[in-house]
Amino acid sequence: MKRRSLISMLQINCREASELISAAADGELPKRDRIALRIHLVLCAACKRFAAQMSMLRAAMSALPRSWRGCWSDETAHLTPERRQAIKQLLAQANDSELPS
Amino acid sequence: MLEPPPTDADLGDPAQWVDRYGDALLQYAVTRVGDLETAEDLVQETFLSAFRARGGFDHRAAFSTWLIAILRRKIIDHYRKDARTLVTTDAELDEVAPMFDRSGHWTVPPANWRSTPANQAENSEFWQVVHRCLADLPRHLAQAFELRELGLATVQEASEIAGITPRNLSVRLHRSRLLLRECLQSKWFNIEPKGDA
Repeated sequence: MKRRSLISMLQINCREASELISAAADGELPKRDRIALRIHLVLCAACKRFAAQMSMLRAAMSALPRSWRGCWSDETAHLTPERRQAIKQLLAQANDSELPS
Repeated sequence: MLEPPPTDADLGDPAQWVDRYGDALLQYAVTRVGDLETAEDLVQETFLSAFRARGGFDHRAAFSTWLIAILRRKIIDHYRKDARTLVTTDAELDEVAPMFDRSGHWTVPPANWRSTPANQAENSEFWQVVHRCLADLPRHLAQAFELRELGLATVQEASEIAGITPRNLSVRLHRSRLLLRECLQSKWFNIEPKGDA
């Protein structure tokens, strides 16, 4: 995030605020940006909702590994019998190639 | 003292690995690449790599954890190859420009979703909508989002995979989050856009 003067710190718009909210999810913001965002969020209900939505989305995504079963894809995620057999054959071939001739 | 390397007998018949761990690996992969056939290819490569590297498995982690670690690297490699085929359009396109007016204020302010993460995470239909929304994003944006939000890569790693600077990755992440949010708002939360703030 670009550095801001003390006066312009108070003047970030919603687009800039949304950039800072997104950046904050990936690492700590510089102090000036952090303060600018905090001030903006006190004054802007829309960006406050956006920040809450980003938090919700992030929390939901982090819960995905526990809840993905059958959810993420329309397909039921099981190896097809053909693929299962193919992998076993490849493993058997790899094993054969390691045996001393 | 170092433990002796595992013998083949310790790890069992590789064919049984497929029966025991195949579906779990596939499910891990398909949630991250969003495509069943690609996920199957990655699982296949994972088993073959595991077989070749089995002498390096040291029992400090569970065998399934070791397999997942291999699969995770395969998935990252997959994204890395994918990134090479993506056209970098960051400079020319600003996909989220219509969401803000000239003064940088929301043209359609975000609505209140009235929901909690726990409500959504347990709902399979929610994930199907997220999946469809991600599929509708420009691929380079979806890739950035998936790498970060699925915990596949740090910012630095994701930048390297995409072949862009961390600053440009940040731009992509911002755009992907805004577009996904907008898609969820209309397709899941069923909130019609309103002009007022």
